[in-house]
Amino acid sequence: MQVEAESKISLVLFFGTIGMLALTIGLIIFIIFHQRKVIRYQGTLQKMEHEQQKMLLNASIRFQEEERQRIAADLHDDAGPLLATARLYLNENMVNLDKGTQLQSIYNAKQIIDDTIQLIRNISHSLMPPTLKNFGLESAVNDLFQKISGSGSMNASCRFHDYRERLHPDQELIIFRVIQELINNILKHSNASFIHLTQNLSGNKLFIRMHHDGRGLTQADFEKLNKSTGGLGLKNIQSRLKLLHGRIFFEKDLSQTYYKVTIEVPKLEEDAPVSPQVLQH
Amino acid sequence: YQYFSSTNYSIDSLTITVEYLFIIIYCLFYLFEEITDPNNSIIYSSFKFWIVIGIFLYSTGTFFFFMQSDKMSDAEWEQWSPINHVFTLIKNLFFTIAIFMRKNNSHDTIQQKTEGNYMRDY
Repeated sequence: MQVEAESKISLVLFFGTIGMLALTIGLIIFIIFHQRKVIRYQGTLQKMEHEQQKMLLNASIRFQEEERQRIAADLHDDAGPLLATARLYLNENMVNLDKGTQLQSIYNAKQIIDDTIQLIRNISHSLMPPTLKNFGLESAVNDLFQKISGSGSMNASCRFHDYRERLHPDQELIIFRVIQELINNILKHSNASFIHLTQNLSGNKLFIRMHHDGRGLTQADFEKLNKSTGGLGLKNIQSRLKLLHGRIFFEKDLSQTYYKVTIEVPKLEEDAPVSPQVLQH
Repeated sequence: YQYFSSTNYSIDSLTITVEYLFIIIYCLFYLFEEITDPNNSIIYSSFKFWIVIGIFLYSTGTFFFFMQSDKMSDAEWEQWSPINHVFTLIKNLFFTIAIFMRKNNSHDTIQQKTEGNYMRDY
């Protein structure tokens, strides 16, 4: 009986120890493999984030270069010939002409110089509208929409419901650029006949909504374009809004008659410190 | 007094079993917390992991040995005690690895701090 008890104890001890050991080693191996899987997954995520940032940066650089080329073209094609023509009128031979012809030449040169001044003023205003700096986002957007309506190409209107306190100037500039870019896209691609912009404040967030009746984008189209190498303007919009911790949504209205773009930006106080990246833009 | 005056030396299996159960549960809990923490990248680069694994292996390996110890005869005890020796060795090996990990980690921290200061001065 003692031998039986001893062999029973030995069996329990042997199999129990082997079983526990197998479970423990199995658990440790599982933990190690699980960790490796997690590390590989994190590596893939990091790589994807890196690729996305690289794409946004490239888009931003290309956009800047295109803008510089446009400014250069405006100056070269418009301002350059105007000034060259004014110069033609004001040459040394003028002293040999009669007073009447001299006065006419001076008058023509003055007209051309006035036109050149207006042109350069327009280029400068399109780069940095003084209304935005002096009177704020609401006035600048109103001006912009009045210019669009005035051109006769479409009916553009805007309404700010709750903009008693101005945002930080850098925030206003970025939001204005985003609105400009969106309007450029609508004018270029959508064939719309009207654009309407509304502004609301909800809690600590500013909402800007733009409706138009042309061909627009849905959120799925926006995300697809963002992942591709094209869609420079949209990538620029996204990187600008990222600086403000803002978001943008594209959708088609439920009635299927118009497209809507919603920009959501958290409000910063006017005197609050802004990150250097925002200031650079 | 009875504890100090008693000459009947034996292992209290029940107490040890309960103690090892608690240790095993704590080790499992620690490992679960470590693998579910998203900030943890490499679990085995921490010295704590090696200490816990050493204790865990020792507890599971000698669990049944100590559970049956009060029923064992002296001969059986002599026969099966190598289990305890082997797992003690394994546990101490893991503790050694943990000590080296700790030493290397603290060296790296000191080196980083020194380099950081140098770069700041430069």
